[in-house]
Amino acid sequence: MKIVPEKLRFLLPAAAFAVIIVATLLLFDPDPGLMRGINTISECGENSLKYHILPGKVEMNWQIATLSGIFIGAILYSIFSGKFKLETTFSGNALDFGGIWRSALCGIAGGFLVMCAVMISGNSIWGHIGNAVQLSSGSWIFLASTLFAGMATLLLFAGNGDPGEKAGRKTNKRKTSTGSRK
Amino acid sequence: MTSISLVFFPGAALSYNWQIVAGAVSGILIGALLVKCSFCDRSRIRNLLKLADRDLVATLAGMLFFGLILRWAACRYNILPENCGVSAGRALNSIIGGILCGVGLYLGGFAPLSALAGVGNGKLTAVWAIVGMLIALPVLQWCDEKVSFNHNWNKALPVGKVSWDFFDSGNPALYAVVALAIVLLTLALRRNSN
Repeated sequence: MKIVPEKLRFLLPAAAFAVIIVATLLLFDPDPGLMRGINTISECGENSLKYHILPGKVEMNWQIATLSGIFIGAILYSIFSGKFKLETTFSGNALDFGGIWRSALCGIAGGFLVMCAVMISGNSIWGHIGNAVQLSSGSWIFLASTLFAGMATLLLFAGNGDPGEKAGRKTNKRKTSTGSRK
Repeated sequence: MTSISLVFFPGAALSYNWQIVAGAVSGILIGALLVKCSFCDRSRIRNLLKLADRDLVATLAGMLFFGLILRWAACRYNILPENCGVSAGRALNSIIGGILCGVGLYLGGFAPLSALAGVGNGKLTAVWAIVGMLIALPVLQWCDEKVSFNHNWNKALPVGKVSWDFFDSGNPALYAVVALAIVLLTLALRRNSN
């Protein structure tokens, strides 16, 4: 018997996220973002490349612990729920580029832009959500801009239908017509 | 009702070692939730940006809504102070950052945390996003050294000492949020009618 109806299944994860955010405010910092942790790890890597030395000991703080926990939690949940699945390319449509190298290009470009956004705005998306809960105007503007920009990019590239979907439809039509002739 | 008075900000509620433990536990929960809700699935993030994925949109909206309620309740019963210690955001930085983030999410589909969770979920495509993020840091530092903006055209946004300042009629963010809510509602109604 399902306790939560199908339509309301988003409630539990949403509430869980909210509790974690507020608990972070209570236990750690008014700024729940993990930028300091990301910067620490990045500096460690940068120094090791610059000075050709092995990465040194990273000073542990709650942010590094949280980042490590996210990775471990994802692995544990994936394994125990059976959702673990190795994926080397993005599932393809014409714009998504099916191959590994094209996936790499999209991934690197996307990651680069997201990190630029994080550095310019001053916080990660998680941090902005945490600050939005505290009614920080800048974070609300950031989240709104993200949504609008993502929507606009989708409309610009996909228009009245994903080019990949259109290509897929054409391929299916050809296959169907071939099948019917037979 | 008796108010619970605690000393906080930063991290005074827990000692250093317990902070590490609490951080790890919260990280494990966040990682599991990110995988469960498919926040590290690129196609679903794209559907989220299109507002086509009802579950993800509802989870994100619910997260903000419940967070606001919980934080209000915590302030009401003096568990958290009303002075949010968040540093003032800047309008132009937030807008430019948001635009870049939206485009980046469309291309790569991963944010920093969801990329980490994605690697744990077996999505090796997230590794490329992490590589891109790591490249961005030194590039931006280099740009910061070479380019400087001398004129102060980017004023700090107001940070309410009391949370209710957000609802001041002079706050531009309030109108942005109202406009966003109207647009989302219109889009949701259009989708349902289609």
